[in-house]
Amino acid sequence: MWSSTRRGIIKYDLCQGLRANMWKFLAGAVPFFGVVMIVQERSVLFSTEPSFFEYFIYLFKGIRNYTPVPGQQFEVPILWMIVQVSMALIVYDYPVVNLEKYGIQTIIRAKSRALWWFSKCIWVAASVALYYAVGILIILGACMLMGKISFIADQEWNMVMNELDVSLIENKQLWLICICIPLMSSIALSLLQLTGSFVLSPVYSFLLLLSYIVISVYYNHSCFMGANSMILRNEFVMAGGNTLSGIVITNIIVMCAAVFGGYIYFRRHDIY
Amino acid sequence: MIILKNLDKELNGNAVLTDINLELSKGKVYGLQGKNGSGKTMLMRAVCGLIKPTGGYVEIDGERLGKESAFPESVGCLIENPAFVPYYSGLKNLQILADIKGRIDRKDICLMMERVGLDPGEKKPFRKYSLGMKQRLGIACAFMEAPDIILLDEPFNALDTEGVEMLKNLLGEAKEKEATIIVACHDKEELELIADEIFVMENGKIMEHKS
Repeated sequence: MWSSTRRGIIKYDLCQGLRANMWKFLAGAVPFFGVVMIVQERSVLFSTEPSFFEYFIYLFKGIRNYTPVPGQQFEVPILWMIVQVSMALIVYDYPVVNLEKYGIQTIIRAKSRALWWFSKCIWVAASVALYYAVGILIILGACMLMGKISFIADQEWNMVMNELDVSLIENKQLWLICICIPLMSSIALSLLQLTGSFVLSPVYSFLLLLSYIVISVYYNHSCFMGANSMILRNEFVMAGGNTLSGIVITNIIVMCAAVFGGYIYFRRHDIY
Repeated sequence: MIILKNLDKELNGNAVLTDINLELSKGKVYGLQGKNGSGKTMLMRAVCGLIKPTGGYVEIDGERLGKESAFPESVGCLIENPAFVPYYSGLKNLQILADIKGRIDRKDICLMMERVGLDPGEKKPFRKYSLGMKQRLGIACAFMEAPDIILLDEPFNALDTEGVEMLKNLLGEAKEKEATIIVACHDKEELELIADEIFVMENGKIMEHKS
């Protein structure tokens, strides 16, 4: 179906690109281990073991819509932010550095800037998906060690730990808000970062992305999609929250803008 | 045939190539001579399709780069320092590059590595190679797929006498196979031994043409 060149360049990026960033995946697993430790430590307060969802809800819950009130400080949720920083570090500068060094040999063999660019986009999506897969495996491992792998969210746990009434949320909606939406939002933001790393530089793109994410936490507005992965801001949790359709449409628009906008820029980009 | 017609290139407001006009035939070795910053490497990058001309064009076998095609159909290059994945062996590095086009197999790569004086069975990662070994691997990479166009930027760097002879033999064979070869070198004597024609560059311009 695909030519050997297309397969070759994509395989190169998936193998080489993921291998090059292996240490970042390991370092980025810290928030997942962190949430495991926190949840395990507090498990003594409850009569039942936490399910799979308790870990993810704790990690991705974020904060409710922030309203500036005198005397109330604005705080970015630490664990959630560490996850965003970890993914931004994984993307960081691999495509740019790759191009400036041994990427020349791959791009002249691929004979296509489009192929090279879209292969990098696939690498970004695969890297983010792998990061989430690593997190899921860590959480599943923790559940196994606790002797219980359950995919039914615990009401008591979530009311106390996450200020969340899960009885109002269907199980399939939990899968959406705990895994699917954060994953999709992360891929969209990472593709934006990829484009920015070529248009500006890896450092500026990284810093701008993190600033955008923090602003998104502060202002809950459709223009700021950086906090779309926050569970506590979702319509399934909060009346008037971010709608599923709105999040999906926004993510798709951002992905398309980043991928095609980036390609338009990269077509004319001098490689030297 | 490679044609460079009124080729200009500006980078950050500086003219790095100015009004380059060249016609390069198959089966010949062309030398680019000039000091650092004269434009030799930029000219090679333009032929590879890596930089977009500000004016003029590069045409390869009737196809204009940037219009009919983004890159030459068949090109091997060693531009500036040879760069490979640092934690892979030489063979692994060449294999993953060869897999992109899928035109040669492991046996062909091993043969080429032996030709340039490297051991294909060497497990040492690239980052532990000596300068000479890195240069030989870069040369192997440029020649391994028997490309129609070969661009070599300072290929004699870090090569011993044996390595220089090896490279000259490879150039001779590629020439017989009708490849168009461009070699950039600051060593005038070395260039005069291998090149059929030499272009002397200064400040991005061709100042002199020697046959």
